[in-house]
Amino acid sequence: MKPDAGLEHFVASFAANEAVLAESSPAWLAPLRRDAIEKFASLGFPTRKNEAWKYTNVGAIAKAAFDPSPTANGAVSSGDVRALLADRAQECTLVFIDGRFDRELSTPAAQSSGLVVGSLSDALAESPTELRPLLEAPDSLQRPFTALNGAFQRDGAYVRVTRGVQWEQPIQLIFVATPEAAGRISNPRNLISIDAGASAAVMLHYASLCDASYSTNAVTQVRVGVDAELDLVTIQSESDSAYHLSSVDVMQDRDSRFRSHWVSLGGALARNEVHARLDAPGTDCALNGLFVAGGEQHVDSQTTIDHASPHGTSRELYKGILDGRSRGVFNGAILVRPGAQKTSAQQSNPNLLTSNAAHIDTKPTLEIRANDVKCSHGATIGRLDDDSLFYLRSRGVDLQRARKMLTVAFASEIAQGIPQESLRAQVEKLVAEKLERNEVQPEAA
Amino acid sequence: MGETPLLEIQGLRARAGDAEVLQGLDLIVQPGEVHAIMGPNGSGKSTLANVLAGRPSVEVTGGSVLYQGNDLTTLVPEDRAKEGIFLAFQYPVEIPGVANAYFMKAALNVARTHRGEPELDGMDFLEFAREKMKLVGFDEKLLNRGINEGFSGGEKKRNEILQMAILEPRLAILDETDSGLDIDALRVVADGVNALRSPERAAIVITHYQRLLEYVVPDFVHVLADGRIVRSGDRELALELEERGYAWLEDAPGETRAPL
Repeated sequence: MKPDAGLEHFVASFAANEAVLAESSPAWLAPLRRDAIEKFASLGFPTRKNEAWKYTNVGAIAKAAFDPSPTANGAVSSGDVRALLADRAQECTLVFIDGRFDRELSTPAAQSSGLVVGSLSDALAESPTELRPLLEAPDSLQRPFTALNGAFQRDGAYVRVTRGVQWEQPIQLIFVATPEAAGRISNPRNLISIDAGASAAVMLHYASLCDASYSTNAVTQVRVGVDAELDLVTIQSESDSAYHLSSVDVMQDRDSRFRSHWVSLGGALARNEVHARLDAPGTDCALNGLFVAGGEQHVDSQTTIDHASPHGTSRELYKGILDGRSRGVFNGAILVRPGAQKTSAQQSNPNLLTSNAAHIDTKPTLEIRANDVKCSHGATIGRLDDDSLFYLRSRGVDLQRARKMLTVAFASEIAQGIPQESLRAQVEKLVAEKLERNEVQPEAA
Repeated sequence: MGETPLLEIQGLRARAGDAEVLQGLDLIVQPGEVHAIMGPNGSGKSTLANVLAGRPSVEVTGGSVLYQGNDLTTLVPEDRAKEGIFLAFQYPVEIPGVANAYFMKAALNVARTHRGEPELDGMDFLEFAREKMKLVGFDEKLLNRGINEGFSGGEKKRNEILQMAILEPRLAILDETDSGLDIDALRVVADGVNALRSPERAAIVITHYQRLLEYVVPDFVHVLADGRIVRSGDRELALELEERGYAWLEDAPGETRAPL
């Protein structure tokens, strides 16, 4: 099937499912969906001629013709879900199975607590006017997969922490794929809003209970209000046969603090995008990421930090560990707009290649249009340090274990940056398991 | 003689980088002995240490190295460590992200498993390590940091001696462990070596200065120059070197051997 045929497949699926999609949402969403599918049809699947997709070929997704229609989801036990939780307290936990909200397994927040944690479709049913502006044509609609999500979105999480509430316990959003997901694409849409002076930590965990081939195409919109604070931990541990596409668009208000901790472990192909706009003075933004790939995996991290206002600080650290014949992409843009004086921006992308056949394309870019700023960026590509290996071995640690110790050490910095202990422990555990899997795979020739 | 030497090096030649640094080195170390190796910069002292520990970038190009009667050169570094060889590094590396305690426990348990002893769990290890830390004046807080991460020069050397004390090697090689140390730290190094002295164990102490040898009294002193041992003697030789430098040796041909 040609890419055009893939496009036609989604356009036809939309026509076939439009009525079903409309059943469970307010009337004003229908024209938004139609706009979105038209946008997708005009943009088409991205090709490698597009600079943002230069190193990532999505032909396989177009070809696979995943089914976006809302059908019944698979069965998941509460035990399965518990294993995916970072915090066992299980409060403020939403579970989505094959893209559908599961009320049984979820524990939405009590309204009285100053917190709204529930499914987006419920929130749309209850207070559509509040949410409408958030769903109406965001800039990100210019991206093909965001447009595709806009057409087929049906559910997702809605998180709102109201003014001044300091919410300490992590809010956990779990997206699980079951064997029923095979051949299908889910399009979760999440809205996270931290109101003025509030703070919270949210985990987005894309997990899998199968090794089927499916696709997740998630879009998350985040607003961090005046003097508000958010830690957003994204864990991508999809099936190794899955296609994971997800983007997080963040809008930061005055004096807000936003930290993204993004760990990408699964997927045959994963495209992880985070775009932060420092939209008012005095904001602080940290984008941390770790991508680990092995075998034939392809993992692409795209980030934008848009300094649109003065006195903003951003720190970005993305680390890659590539094994087997895997390929990694890092494309990190920092933009300092005219007038964004006293901006301080630091970006770095160190990569560790643990096999000869692994490959990374890294492109850190800095575009500065203000004159009173401090910015730095850089990327490195390296192998395990010989002197460190020898040191460990000279004490009796065998080569394989020494390699593992150094690899885990390289990865550890990202987990260490997560302030919430339970989330940090969860990330450490999943990263260790992934590195373990990399190790048992025979090294490619 | 009869007894198998702990270490028997004959005609050793080795290449580090482009240069053949060792050019026919002979050395015999019996159990229970402490040998000091002195010599000017570039004479091959560190290369010898690295050959014994098995650093992959140093290539043995000739001669033989027998350890307890077996060819040492075919063993990978970790197997040498299991057999009881320990190198205290001249420049210990910093390894952020690998906690000191975790690493030392792993290393100790490798040694214990090899000796047929049960592994120590975290609690037992800590108890064991505490005693050793007291011995070398090692700040317990450093145990949970990354290996040598942000350590001062003295702390790094103490860490080497701590690991030596924990692993209790059969053959300890100290590569200029004393350089740059104040007198207290020097005493720690000396105490560490002396604590391990026993009829079964031996040590090779590579040093630039005879200062350390006031505290670790060696059985033999060897002078290394241009990749060979050019003179051997007892403690007096170290004092003579201190007084006269190395130049007089280079002028004086003829070679003395350590009494075996």
